Amino acid sequence: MSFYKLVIMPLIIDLNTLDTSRHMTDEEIAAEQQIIEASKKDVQAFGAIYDHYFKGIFEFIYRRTDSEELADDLCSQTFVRALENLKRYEFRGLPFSAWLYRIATNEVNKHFNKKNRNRVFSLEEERVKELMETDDEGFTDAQIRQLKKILNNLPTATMEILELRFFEGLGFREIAYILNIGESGAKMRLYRAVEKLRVQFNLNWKE
Amino acid sequence: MGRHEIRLRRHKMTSRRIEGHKNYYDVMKKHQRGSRTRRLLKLVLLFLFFVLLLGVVYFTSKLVADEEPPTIENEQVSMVISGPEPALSADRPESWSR
Repeated sequence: MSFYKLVIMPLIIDLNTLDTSRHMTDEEIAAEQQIIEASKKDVQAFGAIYDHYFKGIFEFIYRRTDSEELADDLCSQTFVRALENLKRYEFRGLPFSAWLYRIATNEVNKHFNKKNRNRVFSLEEERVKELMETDDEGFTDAQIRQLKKILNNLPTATMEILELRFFEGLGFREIAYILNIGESGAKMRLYRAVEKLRVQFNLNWKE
Repeated sequence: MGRHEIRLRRHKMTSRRIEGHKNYYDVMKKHQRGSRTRRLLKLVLLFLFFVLLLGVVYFTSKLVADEEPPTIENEQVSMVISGPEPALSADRPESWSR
């Protein structure tokens, strides 16, 4: 029996069955918190958290860097930072992933600031197609150009919110925590961006 | 206007490919190395702090000692030294004492 199961034995919840943090119930968040508390005493227990969130964090960083090697490096750095600061982590009723996303965002920003390069948003066409109603053939070149133009003209902070909401599927409370901004501010920025997109595209999204 | 670049990817990265990047052993190794370095740094800083503290104590005590006024014992010694020598008064001619 793994340490992971031992820690949350009374609740019998297998976090590996959960796809992403957005599906977590309050009980599951509380069970996860027990693992975090155990990890504060023994870092070996953190392995379960790593296993559960690695994929999500890696995908997030990859989307922000468009480089597999860099994503690998920054993802590993994110978990090292999380381990280093685990004792300072305070539970705020959000899934632990919100904290990991926050660290990952800081690591990515730090990298781009250091290199003095523009941020990158590498978006999956598949997901974009889901969000915007298109023909089965997908986007035409003109549509892609138009979409890129609109997204390029948005402020980077708004793009970050857009990405976290539509591609990571996070709630506004988590987004606000990750980006260290107000919840209402995050909502307002997103709605403005959506309105801009709706002028040109049929956005398949309702709040 | 944002300072970012938008790229569209045709395919999503597969779970298998992502799994290939998973390396908890490496994360733990980096964490252990980092905590060792931090512990060592803390020790060095603590040592330097004590050295500094000792230095401050030493120089302060030295400064206080230098500023101390002469004691009564020292005054007595100076009085003894400045007193007339008995040998001199014995050799004095008699006419001097009249």
